[in-house]
Amino acid sequence: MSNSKRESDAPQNIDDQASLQALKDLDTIRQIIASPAISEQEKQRKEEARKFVADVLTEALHEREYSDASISQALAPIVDSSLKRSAKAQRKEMTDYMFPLVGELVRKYVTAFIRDFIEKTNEIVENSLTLKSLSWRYKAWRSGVSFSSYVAAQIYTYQVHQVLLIHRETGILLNSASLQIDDKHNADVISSMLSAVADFVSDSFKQIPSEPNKSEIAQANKQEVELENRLPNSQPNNTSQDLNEIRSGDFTLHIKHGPHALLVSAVTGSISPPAKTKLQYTLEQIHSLYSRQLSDFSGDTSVFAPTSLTLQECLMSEQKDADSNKRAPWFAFILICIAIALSIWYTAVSWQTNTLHEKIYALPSDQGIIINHSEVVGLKQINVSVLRDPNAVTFAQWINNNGIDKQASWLIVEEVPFVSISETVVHAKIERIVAKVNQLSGSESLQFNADSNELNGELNAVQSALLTRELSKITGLEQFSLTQNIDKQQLTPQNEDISERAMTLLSGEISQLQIDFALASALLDEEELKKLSHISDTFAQLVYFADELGLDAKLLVLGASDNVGSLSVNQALSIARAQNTADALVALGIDKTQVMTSGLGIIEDAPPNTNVRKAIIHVIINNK
Amino acid sequence: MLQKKVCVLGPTGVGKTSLVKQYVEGIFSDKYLTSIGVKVDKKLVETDVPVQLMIWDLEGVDKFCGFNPRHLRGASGMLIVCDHTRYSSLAEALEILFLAKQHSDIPAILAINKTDLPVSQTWDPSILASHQHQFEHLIETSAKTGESVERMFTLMAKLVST
Repeated sequence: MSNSKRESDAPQNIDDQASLQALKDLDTIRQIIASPAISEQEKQRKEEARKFVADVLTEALHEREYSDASISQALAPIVDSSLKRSAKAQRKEMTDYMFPLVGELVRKYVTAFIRDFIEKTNEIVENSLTLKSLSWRYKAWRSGVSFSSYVAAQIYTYQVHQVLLIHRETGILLNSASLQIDDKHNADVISSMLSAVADFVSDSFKQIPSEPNKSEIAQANKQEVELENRLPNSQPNNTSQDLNEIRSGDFTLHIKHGPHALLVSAVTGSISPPAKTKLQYTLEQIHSLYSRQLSDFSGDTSVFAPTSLTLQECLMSEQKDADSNKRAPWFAFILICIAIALSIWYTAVSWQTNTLHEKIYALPSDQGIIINHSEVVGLKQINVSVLRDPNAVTFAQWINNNGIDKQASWLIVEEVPFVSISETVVHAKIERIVAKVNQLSGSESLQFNADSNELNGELNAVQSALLTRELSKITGLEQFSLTQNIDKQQLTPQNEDISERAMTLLSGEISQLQIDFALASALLDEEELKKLSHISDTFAQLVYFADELGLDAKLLVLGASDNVGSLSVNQALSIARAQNTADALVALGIDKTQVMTSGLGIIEDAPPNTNVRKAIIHVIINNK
Repeated sequence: MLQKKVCVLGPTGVGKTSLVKQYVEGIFSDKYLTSIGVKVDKKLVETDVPVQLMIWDLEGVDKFCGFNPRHLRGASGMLIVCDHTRYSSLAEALEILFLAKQHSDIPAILAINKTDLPVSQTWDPSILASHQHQFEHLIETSAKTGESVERMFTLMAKLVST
């Protein structure tokens, strides 16, 4: 049935009109039923929209990113969570992908670490040892601020230490970023108080609006439009004053106001206009990206966690002298070179000292020298305590004989005398006696063979006596089977002359030695005992020659005193001096019957400054 | 973490600050109350959902000094405090509630403080009963002994977190 047919048959009355309307409605229903389904239409629309968006997506993203960098900010948390999810779900695949990069990453990291270490070392040296740093320390001390704060103020034009994103209506801290992690402590309470303070200031300095003139209205309208364009949902209040800045000590709090949030930055120094713009821009970005979350904020701050990266970017700083950090870190290089050189030197010297010490300690003790104790003191000093026979070689010669070059400044040697019975020392003593004996005759009449331990020669009686006496003084000689092949000559007149001459010489030698005493003392000191020891040896030789000549030799010890004090005391003192001297001689081996004593008392008429506190020893020769 | 702003209001001298002090260890001095009219403290309340209460302790209200309604902005709940020993404090507290509701229609809890002190004269219980419907809870507290203080703030945390 067609429409034209129905129209031609249409009646003229009202019922017919109603029927016509009904037919029209029926026609509309037919069209709806015949047309595609609504879901199909929706699908078509989506398809068209997808094609449209796909055509412009890349360009649109690029253009928006170029315009306000909001795309990267919006994508950052999405990419971050996607990466985490991917790494968790496909750990093995991710490891395979990352493997070739790891070596490169490690190398770069190590390089960066070393560079960073050197730069930091340089910074520490510069901040600790240079004149500039010392001056800064002094100034910081005078100013009563910490050195680090002073350095920061000197180095940086400004530095943003902390950034707080605060919900404007509730004063609740939405998120924050800080240079130091512990600065976040109580940041939420501080944010609320800051919000309260801002309200307080805003109310306290509320402006009463006056009648504006036309130009002011135009200007105000223009500013309003600009503000609204930058901050959506902004509701500027003409009558209130926003708190933009709070100064406290070294810190300045810069407060940027948005319709729903405040961005507060704690700054030291004078923040630059570009940095302020950056803060403002960041607040606008956050408003743009989190507009719905900010307006519908119900206390859940976790939704603002992705703003961390954006807030971190606000922790800006600017150095006063950018060139100073670009200089090559010579200080650090020099310091490290010096440290390495010192380390090498220390190691070398230490090794050398220890090696020398070990060598010395390991030396054989068969030459009349025994290492008693040795130790390394400090870096290059070795203290050595040795026992050394006076007839042995010197310590320097000893170590030299053992292949060690003595480094005088390194070795501190303390020698303690002792009597050695080692073969080397005994042989040395015998050779010395042989030389002495040969000296008497002026010829090599006596010879010593060290290998066979034999003494061979032809000696007169005097030489023979000397040899016998000297050999008897050698300690430990009995351990060596010394063979003496000596031909003794008889005493001849020529020999008698020699004996008499020897006696005269020995007597003179004894008389030359005088024993000195201290004031009012009869005691013998060490030095005087040495003299007496020599007298004892000399007298023994003299007795021998006297015996050969059939004479009797004795010693007369005369004690004397000065004229200080009474006669009787000095007399007694002189006797005591003579007696003590005689006792010492007896103790040294002289027969008691061969020593006589006498006290001279005060020596009168002694010239001034002449010491007469003495014991004088004379040799008395008598026929037997 | 969920954070909620809570305001503490009441006539002068009813023990608002003492109630807060009993409950939290604050970092700010009381001088802020008289200088800028508010002091903020925080307390993490472990209910079903952990809630950090940002407690805004407002300066006491009397006939010379009202409260700053701006401090109520964004608050999720308020604690009205009156003094059990002071007859007039209930009427004042009800008036403060009325003024606060004009600015912010948020749930309120009435704390009847100083219950540790003896009373010679107090309000007619019927007056309190007639206004009970304006409060979510009515709690008798003592800042001195700590009675019901923690329970009151826990109720507040539950109230604002739902």
